[in-house]
Amino acid sequence: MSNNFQLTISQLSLRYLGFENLALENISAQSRGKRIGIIGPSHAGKSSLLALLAGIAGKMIPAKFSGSVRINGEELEAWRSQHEIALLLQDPASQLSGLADTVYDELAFSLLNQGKSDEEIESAVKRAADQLDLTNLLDQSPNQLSGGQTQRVAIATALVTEPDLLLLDDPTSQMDPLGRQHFFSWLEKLSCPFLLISNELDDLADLCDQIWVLKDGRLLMADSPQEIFRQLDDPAIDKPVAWKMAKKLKLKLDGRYPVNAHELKEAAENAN
Amino acid sequence: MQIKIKSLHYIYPETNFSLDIPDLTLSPGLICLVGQNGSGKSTLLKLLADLLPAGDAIKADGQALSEYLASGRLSKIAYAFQDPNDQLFNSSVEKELAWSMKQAKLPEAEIARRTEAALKEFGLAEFRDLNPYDLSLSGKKLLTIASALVLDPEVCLLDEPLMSLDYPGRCLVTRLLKKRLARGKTVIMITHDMDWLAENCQEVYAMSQGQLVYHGPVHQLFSDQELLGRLGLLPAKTWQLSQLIGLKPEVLSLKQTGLLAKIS
Repeated sequence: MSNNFQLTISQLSLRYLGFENLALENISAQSRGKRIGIIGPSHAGKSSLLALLAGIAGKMIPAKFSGSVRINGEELEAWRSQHEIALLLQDPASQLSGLADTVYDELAFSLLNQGKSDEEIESAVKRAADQLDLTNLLDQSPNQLSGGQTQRVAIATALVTEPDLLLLDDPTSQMDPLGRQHFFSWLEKLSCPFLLISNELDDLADLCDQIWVLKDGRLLMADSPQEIFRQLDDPAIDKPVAWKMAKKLKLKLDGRYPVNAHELKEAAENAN
Repeated sequence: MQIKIKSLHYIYPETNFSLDIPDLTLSPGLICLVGQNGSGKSTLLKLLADLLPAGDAIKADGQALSEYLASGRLSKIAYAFQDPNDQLFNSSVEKELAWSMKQAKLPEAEIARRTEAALKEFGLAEFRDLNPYDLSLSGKKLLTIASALVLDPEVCLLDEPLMSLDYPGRCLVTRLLKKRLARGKTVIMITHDMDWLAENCQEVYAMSQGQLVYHGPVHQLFSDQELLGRLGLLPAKTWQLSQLIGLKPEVLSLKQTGLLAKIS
C-alpha cells in the first residue's frame, strides 16, 4: 500500500455548522508522490482538510461537506473502513487520553482498545518509544512532560497503531531544534504516506514530493517544492531560508533559486 | 525596572526537577532564553511572573517580587503562557483582552480604549465576539500575547511567543516587540527559533538541567560546537547553510548574508 498512494480530491467544500464562511471552498487536487506538505496562513483550511480526511469534521465536529475524496480509487469512507488513518492534532495535549498514569499506558491506550495482546502491545509501544526517543520517559506521568515531550508522545500515540496514512498537523511547533531535526530525519525514513502541515519550509522543501498551498479555504497551488517557491509570491507566506539566502547571494540552479540545503550547496558549487 | 535574582532555588516535588540560579540581574532590553525541552526555561519564566513562589530570591526594583506586584503594580509585569489553552478562559476575545486590565484596576474608559486598539493592532477585530477557543491556534497565540501587551507592562514575559504563529502573525509580533524595546521596556522570552534569535537578539541566555549555563553573544554560542552539543541546540539555519556552502565567516542572519554579498 505504502508504495502506491493516490489521493484525489474533487470540488470539496466544507462548512462548520454555525459558521457563515466556508472552511474549505471548492478544492480539487491530485496527489503526486506520497509525501505531501501543506502550507498557508491561519484560517486557510489546513487543519480542516486533515480533520475531514480523518473523519472528524462532519462526524465529531458538526459540519457539512460536498464534493468527493478518493484514495487509490476508492471513496474515502470505504477506504477508511479497511485502513488505518492516524491524525496528529495541532494541540498535542488534547490528543492524549487523559486517562493514563504513565507514558507507557498512554501509548498502549489505542492498542488496548483494538484488543491487542500484551506481547503485541509491549513490542509496539517499545518500537514507537524508541523511534521518538521516549524510552526514558515511559514511566513518567503524561502530565509532567514539557510541551515538546508531550508533542513527541502524541506522535508516538499516532504511530503505535502502524497507520496506512498519517495526517500531521504542525507536529514540531513545540519541539526544540534538535527534537525538530530528529523528527524530520525520522519522517524521511518513514515508508507510510503522509500529509504534513508545517511552517518548517526548508524541511518541507527537502522532504516532500508535492506541496499544497492553501489560503482562505482555497487551494492556491499544488506542485513540486521547486515550482511552488519559484511561482508563489504571497506576502502571507514565507519562503525557505535556503531560498532567501540564495536570493541574497544571487545563486541559481536551473534558472531558479534553490529551495533546500542540498540545492543551495549544488548552486554554490556550480558558481565556484 | 531592574530584576535581580539571588540564590534562587526551586524544586518540583513530584519530579524532583530543580532549578538553581545563584545570581542574575536582568536590565531593560531583549532577553532571550534558549535550551532543550525540559531544561527549566518555562519554570524560570513562571518564577519571574510570580506564578511559582520564589520567596525573597527575586527582587523587582529592590522589593521582593510578590510584594512588589501586590502593592498595586500588577500591570508592571505581564506574562503569556506557552500553551494558549492554559491562559484563555473568557467567553469572548474582547472579554479576554479586557480581563487582565480589570484585574490591574485600570479605569473602564481606558480598558475600552486599549481593548479597541489591541483588537485592531492584532487583527482580531472581526473575531471580537468569538469564543477564544474557536480561533485558530495562531489566533489563540496572538490573543495571549495581546492580553499581555495590552497592560503596557514594564516587563513582558513571553513563553515561546513565536510558536504556532503563522507568517503574518510572526512578522506582527516581531514588529510589536521591537516597538516596546525601542521604548525602553524589558522583554524576556523563550524561543526555540534560532533564526529569529540570530536576526533579532544580540545576547542570549542558555539553560540546561535547571541551570543557566551560558550568557553571551549569539554568534559565540553558534560557534561553540561542544557547548551546543551539551545544550542540545543547533545553530540558526542561516549559520548551518553558510557552513554548508563554505561562507567565512558564517552569517548569523539574512541581513548579514545581504551585506556579505555586497562586499564580495
